[in-house]
Amino acid sequence: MGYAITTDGLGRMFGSRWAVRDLNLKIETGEVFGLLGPNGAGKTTIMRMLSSLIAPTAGNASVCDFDVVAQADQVRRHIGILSEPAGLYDNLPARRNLEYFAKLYDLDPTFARKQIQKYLQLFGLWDRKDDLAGTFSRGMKQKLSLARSLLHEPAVVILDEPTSALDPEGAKLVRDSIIALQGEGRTIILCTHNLAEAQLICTRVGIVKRTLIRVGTPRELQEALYGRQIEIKIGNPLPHMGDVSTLDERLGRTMNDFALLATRMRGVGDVAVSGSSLLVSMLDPDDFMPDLVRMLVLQGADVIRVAEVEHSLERAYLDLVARQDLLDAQAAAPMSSTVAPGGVRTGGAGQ
Amino acid sequence: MKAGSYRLAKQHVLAVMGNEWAQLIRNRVVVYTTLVPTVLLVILAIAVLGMSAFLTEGSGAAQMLQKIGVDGAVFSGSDNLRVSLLNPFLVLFQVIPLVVPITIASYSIVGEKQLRTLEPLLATPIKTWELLAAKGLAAAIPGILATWWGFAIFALAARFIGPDYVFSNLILSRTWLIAIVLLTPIFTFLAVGLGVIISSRVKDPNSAQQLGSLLILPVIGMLIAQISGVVQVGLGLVLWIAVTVGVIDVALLWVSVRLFRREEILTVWQ
Repeated sequence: MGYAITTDGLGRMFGSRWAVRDLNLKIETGEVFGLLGPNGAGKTTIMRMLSSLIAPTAGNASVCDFDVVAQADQVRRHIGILSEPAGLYDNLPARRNLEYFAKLYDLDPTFARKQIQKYLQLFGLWDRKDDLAGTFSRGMKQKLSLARSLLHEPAVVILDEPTSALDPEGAKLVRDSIIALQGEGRTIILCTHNLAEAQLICTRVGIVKRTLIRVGTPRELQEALYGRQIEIKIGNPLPHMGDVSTLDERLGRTMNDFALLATRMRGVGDVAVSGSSLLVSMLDPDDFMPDLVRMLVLQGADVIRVAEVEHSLERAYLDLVARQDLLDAQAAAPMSSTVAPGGVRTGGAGQ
Repeated sequence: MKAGSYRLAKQHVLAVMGNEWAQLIRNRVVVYTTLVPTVLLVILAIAVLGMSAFLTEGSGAAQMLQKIGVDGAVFSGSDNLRVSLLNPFLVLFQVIPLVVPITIASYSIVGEKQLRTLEPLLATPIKTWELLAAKGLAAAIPGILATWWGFAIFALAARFIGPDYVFSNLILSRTWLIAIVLLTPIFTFLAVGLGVIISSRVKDPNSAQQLGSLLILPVIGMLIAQISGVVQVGLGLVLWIAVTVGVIDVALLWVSVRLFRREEILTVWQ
């Protein structure tokens, strides 16, 4: 499968400040790619560069094999964008809002009518088609805006916080629609602060803060940060430890005994005790876990549950952004503590 | 431009103009701000024309008529007075192509900024020159039509209310006709150009409109100068104004085109 979007050293400056720099990204056709990052991280700038709304200062990018600068017109025809806020003409009816954009996308009038009906019905707005957009709730406006971005059946859809204003039912409808769009082979870029949502529907996520900090599937990000961790819950007070000669007798029959035993097993990394559970880091649980469990049972442990620990994307995101903040602060420290002309020290932690 | 590109450009321009006008007629403030001065001006002109029928005494207006290129010899004393009362309306009619377009352009562009519709609009395949042309025409056409219709109604009224010789020798004089036909579009594009520039820098339509309304000050100055006899608006002056304002129009168009770029709109306009 080819790439719907590629960027190579993409960067954009505003004045003397880089809003985005050195962005290298490849998004496959049919992916739902989550673009995550704190406010001011450059997500909007990336979206605008990919939509040929603003030109990059450095590097290049292509959408559906069209260059975002040299073939901007083609890029715009292949992209649908949902911005935040919805950006609708409040004093025009919902249908009129869509008709206007259908004309700007050069849709055939008959096809345009069908598309408008299709998407207004999909998002439950058909009965309100002749009502002014200004009378709609925020959620309804969001749905109308989403309908507008899909009218011309774009190959790539960029959605900025598509469910932010929606009730749970509306949010689910939009999520289902995103999955349905992916099923049709479209590529979706989802900018969101809703990390649970990103974890649920994104095939891969990229965490950005001016540049791409990390990219991968939600699971890959978690594993890169924490490895694979297995929780082994042991259920009894361990009355029968048996003769374990390698154990220090003073430890007695405690969870620590099992932890120590586990660390000696092949394929096991760190082992921690948390209440009546062992948290075991392993490179390849599929190969090494059966031996470990067997050993623990032989040593008298009542193994109640063995399960892989799922770290949330949110935790991974927060850790990655915090690490980046630390790196940024370290990089900025020598510069901010430079001595200004006249001998006055400016900035720096010591100020 | 290829035939296909031309067709698409025309379709985009017409779509934007249609959208502008669809919103315009739903915006009471814009409708009142554009219609009321125009209607009042026409009513005032007709009223003055009607009241001038009661004038009987001659005046020293023959000299003034000579200055503006109208043959005063054909008018009697009371006709001269009628002419000197009606002549300032030639200048007053030029307020319409300044007020109407700047109001529409202000609400159109600043309105888009307020509604945050510019980003989705610019994400479509429309070219920025198409958008600028459409917004410009959507503001200019009502201004031009309002002036010409207003003048046509006034001329028609003059045909029936006023004396024939005032109608044929003043209102249909070369000075009046050239001023109405030539100056109106030139003044309109001056207002549109300024409207675009002002709208790119302000956040609400009222501010844009208030700044734009300063544009009528030179016209009011001209009117005062005309009434006080300092300046007489003759054919030569009309042509001089047309050339001067035409040059300013070209300069404003140049600035507008530079302001009206995707980058500029999305990153600089506030």
